[in-house]
Amino acid sequence: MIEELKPQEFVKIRDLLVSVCGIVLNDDQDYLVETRLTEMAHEVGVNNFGQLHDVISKDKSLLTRVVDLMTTNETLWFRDQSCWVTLKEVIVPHLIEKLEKGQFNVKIWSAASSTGQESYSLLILIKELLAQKNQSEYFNRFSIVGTDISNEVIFLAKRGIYDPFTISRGMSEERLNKYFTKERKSYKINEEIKSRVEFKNFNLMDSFIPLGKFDLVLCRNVAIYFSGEFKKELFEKISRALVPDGFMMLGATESLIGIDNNFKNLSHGNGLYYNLG
Amino acid sequence: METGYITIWGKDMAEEQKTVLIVDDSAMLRRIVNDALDILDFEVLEAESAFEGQEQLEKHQVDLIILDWVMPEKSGYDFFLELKEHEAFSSIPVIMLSAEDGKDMMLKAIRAGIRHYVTKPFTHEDLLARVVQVLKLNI
Ligand SMILES: C[S@@+](CC[C@H](N)C(=O)[O-])C[C@H]1O[C@@H](n2cnc3c(N)ncnc32)[C@H](O)[C@@H]1O
Repeated sequence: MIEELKPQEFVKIRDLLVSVCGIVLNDDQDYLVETRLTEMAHEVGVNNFGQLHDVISKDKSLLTRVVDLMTTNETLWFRDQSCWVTLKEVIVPHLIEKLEKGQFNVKIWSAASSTGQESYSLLILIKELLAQKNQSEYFNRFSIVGTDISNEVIFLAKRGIYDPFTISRGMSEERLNKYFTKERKSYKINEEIKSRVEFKNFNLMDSFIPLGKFDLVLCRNVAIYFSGEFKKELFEKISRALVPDGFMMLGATESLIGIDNNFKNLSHGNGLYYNLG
Repeated sequence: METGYITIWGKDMAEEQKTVLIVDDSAMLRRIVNDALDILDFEVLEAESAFEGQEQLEKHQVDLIILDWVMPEKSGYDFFLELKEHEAFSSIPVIMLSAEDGKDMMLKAIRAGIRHYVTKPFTHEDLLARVVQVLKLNI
């Protein structure tokens, strides 16, 4: 049995999370630490949270699991209408234009991909816009890298199979019929769409250099968990991971207000997006 | 037992199909959870009470129990405490579903040895991620 979390152990774990992971916990979230980390304490074979703190502070893979356990993975298809209008009317047309002007391929990063809905939604949108312009041959020149700190959601994103309830959160009947195949009660994303995305485990605290440069970065509904200092570092690293005319998008409820950064704010209708000016 | 295939790191590995038992008095919730689990190709058993859950456990080998806290007659929590005393069932991991997101309830469940606690309304992403983790499907 694991001993109950003591106040001084909570403070140690909270300090570790903010300094190493940039994740902020409030004073009243001590129960979250106890309820979500007890399983891990069992697994690593310690019997109190002080010892768990010592183990996770030395083991990076455990720390990333802590981050995963303290954040939610909720996501939807085509989440936040205003963002998708901007993607459809401004950003994707711009990316297509780059190909028309001779750029060989377009690289996109979904920086907190969760179970994959964001990446697959964007590929569906790209496919539709290309079809409208009779440029379907360009589809294979787009590629998305979807990353997340959670191994579990990456496993699910790679499977690309969704149950009816999950499908009902933003996927239209028409698109469902077109881009998915029914498998038992669930729906599997078609291979053509799936082949354009690669999902992998990645921690936003790490260096972005190995990922290369992107034409578009979606960093949506993830920075909300981070401390001010870590947010600043995050957006600085994203700015360096963009090509000079690259774009970044945040979630509809997020902005860069109050964060020291080198992005230029742009807007289209209600949608906000960013470039390097 | 049937054999299912799960793709891991691009390779097909034969995996024994896992059996999951859902114990919940609400038919709708059982269906929602059952549907969510469909993507992982499990054998899913349902029980609408602790009593029926016990019967299912005696008949089948179960890898994971998803248990509702609030049920008439015997609560999921009391059922869990009984299972813990039962040698054959005490090592089966339990994910508790509960509308009670009160801190005290959650702590009580975790301190009693429940592996994971998912509050209703739960997102399928979070529920499935916990299931993948408890059953170590991604390793
Ligand atoms: C709420 S989901 C957002 C999913 C999607 N971008 C959307 O907007 O619908 C947040 C995701 O961020 C991931 N996450 C949290 N901290 C992270 C970190 N430090 N590095 C990478 N991913 C992280 C979580 O695992 C979770 O899947």
